Amino acid sequence: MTRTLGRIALALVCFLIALWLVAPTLVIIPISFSETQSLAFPPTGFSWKWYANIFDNRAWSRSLVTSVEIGLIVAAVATVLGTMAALGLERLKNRLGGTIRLLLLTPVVMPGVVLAVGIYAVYLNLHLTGTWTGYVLAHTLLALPFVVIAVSANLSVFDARLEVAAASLGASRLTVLRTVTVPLIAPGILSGALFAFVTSFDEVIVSLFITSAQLKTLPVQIYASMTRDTDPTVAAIGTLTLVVTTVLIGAGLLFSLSRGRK
Amino acid sequence: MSEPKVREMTPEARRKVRAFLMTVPALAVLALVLLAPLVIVVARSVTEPQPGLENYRWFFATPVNLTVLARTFKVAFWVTLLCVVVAYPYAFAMSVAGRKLRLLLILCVLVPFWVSGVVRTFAWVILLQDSGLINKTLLAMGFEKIRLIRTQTGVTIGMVQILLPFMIMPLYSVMRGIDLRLLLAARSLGARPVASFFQIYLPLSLPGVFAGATIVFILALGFYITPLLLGGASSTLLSTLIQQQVLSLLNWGHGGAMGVVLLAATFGGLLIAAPLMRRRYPVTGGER
Amino acid sequence: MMPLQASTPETATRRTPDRIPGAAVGIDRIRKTYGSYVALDDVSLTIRPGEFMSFLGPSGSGKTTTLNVIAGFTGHESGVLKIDGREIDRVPPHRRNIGVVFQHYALFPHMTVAENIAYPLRQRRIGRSERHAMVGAVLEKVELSALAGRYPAELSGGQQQRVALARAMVFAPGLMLLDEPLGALDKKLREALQLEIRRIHRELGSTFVFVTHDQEEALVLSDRIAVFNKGRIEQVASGEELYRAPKTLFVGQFIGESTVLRGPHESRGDETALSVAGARIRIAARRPDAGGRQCLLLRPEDLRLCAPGSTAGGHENVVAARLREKIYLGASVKYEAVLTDGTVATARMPASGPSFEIGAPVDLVWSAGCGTLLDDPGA
Repeated sequence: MTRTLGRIALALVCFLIALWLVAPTLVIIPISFSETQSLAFPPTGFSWKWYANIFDNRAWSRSLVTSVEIGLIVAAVATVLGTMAALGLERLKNRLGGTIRLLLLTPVVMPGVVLAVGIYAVYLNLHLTGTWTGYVLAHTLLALPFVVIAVSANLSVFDARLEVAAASLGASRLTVLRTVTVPLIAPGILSGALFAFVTSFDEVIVSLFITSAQLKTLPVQIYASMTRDTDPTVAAIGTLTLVVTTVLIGAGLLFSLSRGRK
Repeated sequence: MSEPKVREMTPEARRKVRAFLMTVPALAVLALVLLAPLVIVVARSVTEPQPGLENYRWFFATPVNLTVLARTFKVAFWVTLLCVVVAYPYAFAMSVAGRKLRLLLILCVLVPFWVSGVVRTFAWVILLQDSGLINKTLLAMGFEKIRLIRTQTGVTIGMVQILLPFMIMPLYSVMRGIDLRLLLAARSLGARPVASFFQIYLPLSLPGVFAGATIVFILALGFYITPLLLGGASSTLLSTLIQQQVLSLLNWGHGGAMGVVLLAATFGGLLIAAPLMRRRYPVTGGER
Repeated sequence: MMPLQASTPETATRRTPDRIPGAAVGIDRIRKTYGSYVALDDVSLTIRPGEFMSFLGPSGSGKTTTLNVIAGFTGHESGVLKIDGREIDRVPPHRRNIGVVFQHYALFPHMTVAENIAYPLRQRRIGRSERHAMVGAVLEKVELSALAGRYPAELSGGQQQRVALARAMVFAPGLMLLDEPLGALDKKLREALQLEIRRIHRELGSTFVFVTHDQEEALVLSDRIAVFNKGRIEQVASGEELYRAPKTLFVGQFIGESTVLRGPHESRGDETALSVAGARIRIAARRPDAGGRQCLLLRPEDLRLCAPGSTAGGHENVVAARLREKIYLGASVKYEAVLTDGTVATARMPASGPSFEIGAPVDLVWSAGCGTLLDDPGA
């Protein structure tokens, strides 16, 4: 009797928490179809105009494209550097390795504004504010920890004897890396790349400091629009990313399910 | 590193050097966009406008700064506490749920990550505003309207939701490893259900609580966007002050000193929490 | 030493008694289902005070479920559970005062050995000094005094097992439930601990219920064995009785090695005849209630191997077979022979007797008084 009561209470609490987690994300969907430029909920009317605005308004479309491009470059750079570092750290199991690993993880806990202020100062000296290089460098720093964590997690369950076996079969170091190690840790590398892209695509604090009128990322544009006025375009952008991620994750799930069934 | 020198070393040492070289590119990025910025921040805090600790003296002598510092800690503390309280039953349910329900619960934790943090803050504006969904619901239920947007409460509600996944996941990963038969064992040994929870389950889950709480506390200390957009002048946090000093007042000395204080708080928190996350008892070894 | 009253959390024993009166357990028509799956199908069983009872059966046969019902971990839909005559269906597990040893020990990893063992005493609000003395005494009993300060992860499997045992018996429960406590240990350690459990049972005096799927273990330890199959108890008897006089084919085949002969049967007078592999077999037993198919279960030592045609028959049954396998076991030799209908027979003969070679034709010989006539469920 008390057991079932407890279960009902737990289920109810969890439902409320789940609602709290999910509802704020979903509330943007109806707003994105609002007819008026207001954030009143529920919205009045129905229109696609905020979606059209993303592509018609140069400020929105350019920042969206910029963010995707920077995200892709960061994913590539951070994945290569992070994977190399993780592979090195796996073989460097001493105090130096431990220290380097800790160093590579510090960006996660750094207070964003402190880091942003410092990077801003460095970039002012090097003339990197508002440049592609500037964005990519800063975002790569923030993405590195996630790549290192993802690849290291994969390496720790990876059987190092396979590398020895491949080497004993006559493969050179590079061949072993290319034909044995990398394919086996591919899931870790892939999820690291995904994390890197998302980190860059979401990054706002450092970007706010190093932005320029010519080169703006999407989060900076959203932030600017939010401080200026109420613009349901933000909801449209959010809904768009939500749909894209849902489709991608759904496809990934279906893919892994169909592969698992084999 | 010249090749001949590498050749003279033992194979073991050579492997180590090669392994180290693989981490160098990542370390170079770290040096340029983490180390150099930090050095500049610290350096400016003690050199601008003139060498000395004047900026720190100013920081601790100005009541507004101390108020904001205290508020930053207070908010981080409450957000962390609320996260623990909310995440604990949720993570527990995740760890005991069946496969399908667990997948659903995990999905609910991850969905917020599918849109960016700024957009989520935007969503909270919609919910918290005076004519927002929460107030409309309260009115419909016969309660009075409460002011949420531009208040400390609103900021806290938003921050807890955004930080909750960082609390749930480490907690879940620890709880998943707890053998539920230990609770049955405790019951058979004479423990009431409540006692078996507090004496067995809670202590075993504490490393997860501390790990999650540390992450949440540290992230909360450095929160910037959410307090800025959901809060008002009365809920300014340290990050906002730093940004004002540097970008609006161009006072790098003051901004740097504030940054160093925030850094010290962050890493001090980490140092205090590190031993708490470790288990006091061994978990492996012996023949199993 | 006077036997002391078994402790309940309310009236805790103030010291470890040398002997505890064992509790009597009555299980009456207990039923437990999971959806459409019947885990326990009206199980009834009486366990005598001080008895060592084993629950034996394949996995999923309901033995652990029965244990969980007794411990109070699993509720049941119908039926009555009594301990010492008192209905305890509604008593929560922590008030049943039953010592449970779990399959993987379930030691609390964050407590030392001494803290683990003191745990049930703390629940019973026994004072510090007394607790200390009781823990010390029970640690001595399981010969672990030197490891009191260690954590479970620092112990070997056998040591963890002994701690689990000590923890379950420190509060002197009248009933101990042990759920495959030796399952995770290697054979040698298992045998050593079997003897230790037997010793502890003898010294303690409380009732032991021991779940196992290992028939040898059950035979070594138990006064009586309850054989479980598909949520039912097939037979409850001593090991010897289960071996010599199984009531069902399942029991006969689960306990020990056996040869099962099947064929059309007819009863005449005090005898039954079975036609097996072209031979007519006489059985000095009759089952008046026997309907349907019957089979004969023979033990390896019932059977004798002879050179073909060397026995006249007379009062003995003779069936021709071909030798398939010969295994030397030290004192005896085990033979496997295939009958013309494909049945495999197992015989064991003294190593000192005549020897036969693999592939050779042999006669299987046994007296009509041997074996058990049973219903043959697998038609």
